[in-house]
Amino acid sequence: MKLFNRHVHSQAGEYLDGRLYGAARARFERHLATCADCAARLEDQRLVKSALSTLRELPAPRSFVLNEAMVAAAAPPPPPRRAAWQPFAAPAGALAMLFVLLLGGDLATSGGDEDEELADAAFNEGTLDTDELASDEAGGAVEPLTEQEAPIIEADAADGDDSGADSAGDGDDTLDGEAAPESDVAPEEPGEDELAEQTETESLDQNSPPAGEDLPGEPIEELQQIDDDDDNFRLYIRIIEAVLAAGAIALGFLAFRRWREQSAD
Amino acid sequence: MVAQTTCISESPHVLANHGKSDESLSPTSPPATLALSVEAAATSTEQADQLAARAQNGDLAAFNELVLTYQQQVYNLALRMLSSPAAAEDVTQDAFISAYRRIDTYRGGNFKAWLLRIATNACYDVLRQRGRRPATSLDGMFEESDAPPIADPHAASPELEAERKEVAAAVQRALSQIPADQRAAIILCDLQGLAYEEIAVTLDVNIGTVKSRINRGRARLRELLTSTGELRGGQVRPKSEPQ
Repeated sequence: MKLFNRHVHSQAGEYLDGRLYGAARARFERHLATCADCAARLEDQRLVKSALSTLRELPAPRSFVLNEAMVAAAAPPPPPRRAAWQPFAAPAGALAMLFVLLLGGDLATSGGDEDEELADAAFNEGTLDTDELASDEAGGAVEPLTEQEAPIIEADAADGDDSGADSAGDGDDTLDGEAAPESDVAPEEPGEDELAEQTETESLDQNSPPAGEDLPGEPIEELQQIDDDDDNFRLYIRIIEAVLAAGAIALGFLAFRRWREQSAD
Repeated sequence: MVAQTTCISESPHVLANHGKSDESLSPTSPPATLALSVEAAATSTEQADQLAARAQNGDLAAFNELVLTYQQQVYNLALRMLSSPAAAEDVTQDAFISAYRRIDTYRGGNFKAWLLRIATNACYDVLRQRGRRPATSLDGMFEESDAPPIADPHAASPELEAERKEVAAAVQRALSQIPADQRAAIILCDLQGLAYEEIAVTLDVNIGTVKSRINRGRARLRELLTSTGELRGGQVRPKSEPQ
């Protein structure tokens, strides 16, 4: 009943425009007698229609008859032809942009692989920055060795010279020598923690550095897996780049051909 | 009051006895009128289709017969849509050129609706351009007083005519303030007398949408005309009553 009422309520315009006949018209008229809203709405519409009737139909100010010249002037449809090459140009440009962006991103990652990964690792460590890492890597491998070797050489040389002085010197040296491995530990610790990035970059390409020997086997496999995934990802990126480049070239060629055809005309 | 009644009696929609007019509520009169108009339209539709078929074969003279038949209707549609005689003239000419160029796409049926659709779309384009350049939107605003005098046998007195023009100017201003799609539906229905079905074809929408646009358009016009004092107390131009 509600639905019916809503329908009837919206019929004032149709009734006024003479579009209700027979039973529908009779029903609306019965409804009109009981519904003040509809009566008011009908009245409003009738008033507006009357007001609109003050707008007279005016005669055409001149003849709009076409002649051959007008038809000829309008004959070549300029808008579509002028724009013929444009639909291709925009997508070509967009594809080219995407290609350049992807290529740029790819070059950046492949060119600075090690540095970036070291930096990533340092960032993940949250303690070291890139410079520290680089020096620690070098220091951990080289410096402790020279420090360790130096006292031994000195001790050997000192043995022949003076034993009294040696004992004191030895003590110092041995202390140094003992301290040296300790100091080794400090660089090695980050080294162990750095396993992730070191193995990522080096363990597969080169023989793993001494630090890598301490690693259990499983993480390396995991990292190998990550590296494989990374390689696959790069491969996909390259494929996408190739497709984008081909698309951009094809669309650019089409746009150029349309443009040539049009300028020839 | 006399003046107003005379003025209104010229129109087919009597408003003096609003709501109580027996003739406007008579259940038999609308179907009879509709039958007549449908018959007349059917004849002209057939003729129009024949002329259109000839135009499709490159007969410009046949197309020009269609131009002469519909140019006044197209011009008035554009004039009421755009409120500018100059813009309406341009749109009318462009619509006919465009229709001739696209005559191959006409598949028969209702040439008038097909033509009016082209004209309506041309009006929408102009309105869209005006929207981008709002500064020019009121240039050449049509004033009813600019309209050339029409030889009208019902024309009563200069005062009455002056009053009608004032109301008409207010109505045109209100019309230009309602949304373009509602305006088009109102013009086609209330000014040009098209059937809902023809309006649906012209505006490329369904009948329900046509009804809705007409209802909403009239409601909005009522608000606008009431706010400017043209409609009050159930009458058009009540301020003329004391005279």
